[in-house]
Amino acid sequence: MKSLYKRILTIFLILMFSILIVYIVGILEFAITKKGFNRSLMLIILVGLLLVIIFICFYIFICKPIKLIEENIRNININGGNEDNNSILDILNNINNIIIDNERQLVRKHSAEMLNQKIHFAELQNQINPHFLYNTLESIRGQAIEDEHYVISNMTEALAKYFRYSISNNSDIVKLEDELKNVMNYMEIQKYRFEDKIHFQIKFDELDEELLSSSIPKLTLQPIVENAIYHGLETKANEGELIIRIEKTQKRIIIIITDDGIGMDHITLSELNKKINGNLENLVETNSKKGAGIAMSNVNKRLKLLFGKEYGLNVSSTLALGTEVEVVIPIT
Amino acid sequence: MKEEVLRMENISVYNLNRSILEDFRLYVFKGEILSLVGLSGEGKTALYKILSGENVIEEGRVIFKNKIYTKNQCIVKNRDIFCLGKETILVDNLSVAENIFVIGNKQYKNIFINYKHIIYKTEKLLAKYLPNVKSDCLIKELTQWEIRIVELLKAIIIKPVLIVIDEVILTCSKEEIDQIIYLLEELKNMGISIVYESNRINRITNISDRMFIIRDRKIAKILYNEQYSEILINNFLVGYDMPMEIERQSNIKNETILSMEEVNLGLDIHNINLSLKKGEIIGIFHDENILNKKILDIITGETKVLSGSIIFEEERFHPKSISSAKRKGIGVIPSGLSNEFIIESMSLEDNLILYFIKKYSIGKIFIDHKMVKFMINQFKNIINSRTYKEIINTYSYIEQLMLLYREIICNNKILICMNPCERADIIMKKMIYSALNEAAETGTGIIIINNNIIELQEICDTIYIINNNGEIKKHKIK
Repeated sequence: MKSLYKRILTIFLILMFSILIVYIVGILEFAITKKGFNRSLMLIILVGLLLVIIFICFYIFICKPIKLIEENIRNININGGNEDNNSILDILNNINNIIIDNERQLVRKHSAEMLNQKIHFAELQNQINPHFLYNTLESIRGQAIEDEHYVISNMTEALAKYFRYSISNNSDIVKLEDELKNVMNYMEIQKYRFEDKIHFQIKFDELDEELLSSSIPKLTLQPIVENAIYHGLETKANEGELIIRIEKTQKRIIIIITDDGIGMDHITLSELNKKINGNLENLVETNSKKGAGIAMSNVNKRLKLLFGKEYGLNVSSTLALGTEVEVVIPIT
Repeated sequence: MKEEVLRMENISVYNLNRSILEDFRLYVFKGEILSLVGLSGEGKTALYKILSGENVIEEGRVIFKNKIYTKNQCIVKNRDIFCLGKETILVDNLSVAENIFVIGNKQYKNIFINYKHIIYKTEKLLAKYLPNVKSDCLIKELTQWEIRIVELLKAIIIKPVLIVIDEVILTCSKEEIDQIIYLLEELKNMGISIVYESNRINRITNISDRMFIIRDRKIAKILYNEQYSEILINNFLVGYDMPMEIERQSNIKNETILSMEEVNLGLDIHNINLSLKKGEIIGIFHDENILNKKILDIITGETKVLSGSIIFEEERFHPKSISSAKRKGIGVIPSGLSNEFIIESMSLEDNLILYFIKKYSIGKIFIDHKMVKFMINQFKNIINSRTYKEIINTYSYIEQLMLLYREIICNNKILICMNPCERADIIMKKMIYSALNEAAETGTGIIIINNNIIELQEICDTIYIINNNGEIKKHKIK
């Protein structure tokens, strides 16, 4: 079987010649009977020329494009171009297959990146030998107690707890209670640096017994708290306040981290929101550029990849008045 | 665990290619009062129209009672969302009982209406919340505040899941606001959620459980009740640390422009002794905002004086009508700078031209074009010319400033303002005070009629307080 283009061409040629033959016979018959042979010959030539022109136009505007489409489809068709299967239906089927395949490729690419990111993170964890770290910190703590330097021993204990939580190979999903304990531990460490400059509170409905058992991805809150301190409260002249407020509904947990630090102007906030809500495919790039440390955009993207685009972070800020980060996660 | 009755996610609203709301989000819990506060033009009314089902969702989604409404969908109007906007939902020519129990309560679908039962229930309700009103009273006979109370009583009967209120209290007295607050708390105790929209903080926003502050088309801050402070909220509203106090100096000149001596109107108000000097700003206060309006009526000839005298520019003054008062150089700025006289489809410039043509035409035939052109130019100097030609609806500030300045630039001898800050947010309020101050500097005597004593204290040189017995006392502000 010939290709679609060749079939259309063949049919058209047959049609053209048929018309021409019929016309010639008709004219000749007229010429012989009516004695106008010369005039008939002129007519035959003119009609012939017209038919040639029509044929050329048909070839350029219809046959050639069809031929081009077929060739292109044949080139990119992963099922192999087969000249036997080139009806209109076949062409459409081929196009569908190409689209489906592209989608599959995108999903695979995305999963590959996720996997890369996990591998990267695991490599990072493996570079730090946790046992060595814990043992060293325990030694420092012991020595501090012996020397009656209780502040140092408390700081070391807090740091050990922090590392034990952050870089342990346990599950990526933890209890909200544990995540909050990690934040409190982090604040305990910061207290030695900032003393009473930062007033920290966690507010939630204490009557809700299930709230603290809710699940949350590990290291969701601490990076946000860290940002609040370094970008909001550290440079504030007076004392500052950092509040974590938790609300639980039937389907979601809403955690609002508020500080009354220096805040951001409209342009900086806009740029931050662009960075946070940027392309998911840049997740690996962001990590490799920044090295260790989990940025707010990382937190947002992790939440969106895990739970969907309606979850994640929302940031609002007012210059000189403070910043508010809202974390929304589903109840799982 | 809290129950979420309404959630709005990533809501964006556009008007003439201009963004009004961007990625806006809101969530309301069951049985809470949530106040939504933002300056004029920040998109509160656009949100109201989405929730009331008037407008479609352009972008984002709304989840209400587990039903999801997305792009190009309208929230279906039903009894679960009860909306109270600037226009009343009650039918003027029907009685209180009919409005509460018949309209919107499916009763009209029945063939027989048990009127006796309806009237009994209405009387019981009114006895508790609105004892001065009868169940057979027509809506058009009620005051604005009474209408609002009847609307809230209707909500008590319908028991919706959510009530959305678009700024209902404007010039209510303290007692009237107390009553509204009491009703809102009753509704809250019934488990009904309330979203109250306002362009400034007031006593109702102060009782809310949470406050969402809108600025730059998004949520700028979420505050809980224990965090409320007027300074903090105003700062978040404007986006910077704004000084709250209004600094002004007195512009009082020695010349008295208007005085009332022993003016008597009968039972309502008697023995009015009042004087207004050039450049002075006086306030006339009455808690219910009724008796103080009589002063305006006296000056504009709407109320006849039984005895006493009114002296204007050292001559006896017999006001016949508002137009004759205007010809004498007495300007009146309408209550809350209301936009009744603005044609919304016309541009700012065209509205101004129309106004000045009316003012400066002789016998309504010959127009003083020079004067009209001069006035337009004067106004252009005041307002930012980049926004001058745009359609008036786009900028509510420009609209209100136009209403204010079109009287001020006419160099009236006396300017009377009725509740000028009624619809004003904190920025507009400062603009209004600044404009009045400018007018006082040029020697215009200003009379402000208001039932908000705090606002009067901020701007006036002297305050006349009218009590319910019709007696007036003068207080000089230092």
